[in-house]
Amino acid sequence: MSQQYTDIAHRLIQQSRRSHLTDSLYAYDDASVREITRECRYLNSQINDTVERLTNEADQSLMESDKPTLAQLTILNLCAQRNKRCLLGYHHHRLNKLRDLYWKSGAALAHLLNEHDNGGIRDELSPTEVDFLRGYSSLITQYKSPFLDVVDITSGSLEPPKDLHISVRVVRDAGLIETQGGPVDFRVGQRFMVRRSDVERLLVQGYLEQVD
Amino acid sequence: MSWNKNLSSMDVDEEEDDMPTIRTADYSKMTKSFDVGTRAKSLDIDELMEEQSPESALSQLVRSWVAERGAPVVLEWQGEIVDEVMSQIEEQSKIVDSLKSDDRSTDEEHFQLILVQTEVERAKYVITSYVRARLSKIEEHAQYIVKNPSTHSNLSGIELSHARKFWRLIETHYQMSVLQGLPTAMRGLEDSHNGKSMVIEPDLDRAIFIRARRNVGQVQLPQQSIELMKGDNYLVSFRDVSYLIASGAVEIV
Repeated sequence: MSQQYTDIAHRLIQQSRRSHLTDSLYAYDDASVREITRECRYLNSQINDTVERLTNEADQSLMESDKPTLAQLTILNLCAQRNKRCLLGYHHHRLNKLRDLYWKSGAALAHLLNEHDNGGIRDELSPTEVDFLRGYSSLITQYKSPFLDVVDITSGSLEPPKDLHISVRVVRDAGLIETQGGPVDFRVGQRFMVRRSDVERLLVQGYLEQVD
Repeated sequence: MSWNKNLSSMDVDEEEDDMPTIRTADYSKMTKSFDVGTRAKSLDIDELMEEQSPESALSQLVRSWVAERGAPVVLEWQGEIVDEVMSQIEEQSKIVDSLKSDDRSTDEEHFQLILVQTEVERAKYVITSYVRARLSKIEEHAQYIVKNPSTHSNLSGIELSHARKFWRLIETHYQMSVLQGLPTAMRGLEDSHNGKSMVIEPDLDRAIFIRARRNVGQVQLPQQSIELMKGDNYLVSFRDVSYLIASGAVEIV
C-alpha cells in the first residue's frame, strides 16, 4: 500500500472544505466513507493482535514491554481516532449544509428532494441523509405549529421587509395561486405587483423573480 | 484575551450635575449644534430610550432579538413578550381586514392601512428572526444542551424538546452512516481527545458590544476594571459581563 493511513480521511475533509468555500453541496462520497471505515476496522484488528501478542509473549505488564511495539500501538490508535473524527466531521458539515438548504428553500421538503433537473438535491444525498431531512422537516413542522396562526417562521428570507408590495416577474409557471386580493394565475413572462407575504414562498422556490 | 474600548463615554451627565443650570443648557445646546460626532448621537439615542418608557412589547422584543443575535449562548426565552406581540399582530390584522372590506373607508384611511400593514409585516419579521436565531443556536449546541441541565432554564418547553429530538436525530444519523461500521470500542460520541471534546460548546469568550442601561459603577474585568455609567458602550468578552446581562443592567448591541 503506497498511501498512508488516514490519507483518504484527509481527502474527505478537503472535500468538505472545498464545499464550504464554494458554498455548494457535493455528491455524498460513499466510496471514501466505506474505504475509511474499512481502514478503521483493519487498524483496530492490528491493535488487538499486537496487544494479544504482547500479553502472551511476556509475563511482565504491558508498559514494560518493548518500546517500538508500544510506539506502533500509539500510532495505530491515533490513526483510527483520526479517521473517526474526520468521518464525523465530514458528516457534520454535510448536515449543516443540508439544514441550511432546507431553510433557504422555505422548508419545502418535497421541492428540495426533487431530482437534480428540477432544482432538487436528491442525487447528492445518501439514503440516511434523505431520512435525516425527512425527520428534520417533521421536527420543524412540530416546532412552528404554535406560531402558525400568526406567523410562519419558515417562510421567507431573513431580509427585513421594506415594502408591502413588490414587483415580480414569473420565471416558471406556478399556476393559480390564492392571494389576499383574489386568485392570480402566474404564467411565464408576466409581471405582477403583489403583496410580498403572498408570494414569499414562490420567490424562494424560484418561480418568481423580484424586479426592482 | 479581551480588549475593552470606550466608544463613547457619557460623562456629560456628571458634569451637568456640578454646573450651574444656565451653563448646562448652553453646553448641551452647543454640543447638539456643533458636535455631530458620537457623543451627540448617543445622547439622542439615550433621550429616545427614556421617552419610550413604559416600553411597548414590540420594542422590548426588538431589544431581545438584538441581544439574542449578539450573544453566543441562548438567552432567556421571552415568552410573554412574544405572546403579547403575536396577539397585537392578530388584533391589528383583524382591524385592517374589517376596514379594508369596508367601502366607506376614505383614501386617507387606506393609506394609513398600508402603514399599519407594513408595521405588522415588520413585527412578524422580528418574531421570525428572533425565533430562528434561537433555534440555530439550540441546534448547534444540541448535544451540549441535552447533557447540561443548567442550560434548560433559558429554554421554552418546546425548545427543550426540540433540542432533545434534534440531538436524537443527529445521533441516529451518525450511528447509521458512520459509527455502526466502526469497531465497537470506537462508537462513542463524547470522547475527548488530546483535550478537545467532541461536544460543541458555545464560545463564551466571543467579543460583544454592550451598552449600559443604568449606572453600574465599577466592573472588574480580568485585565482592568472599568467604570460603567449609563449609556456607556464597551466591547468586551461575553463571559466577563454575562451576569450583568442577566440582571438587565447592560444590553447587547
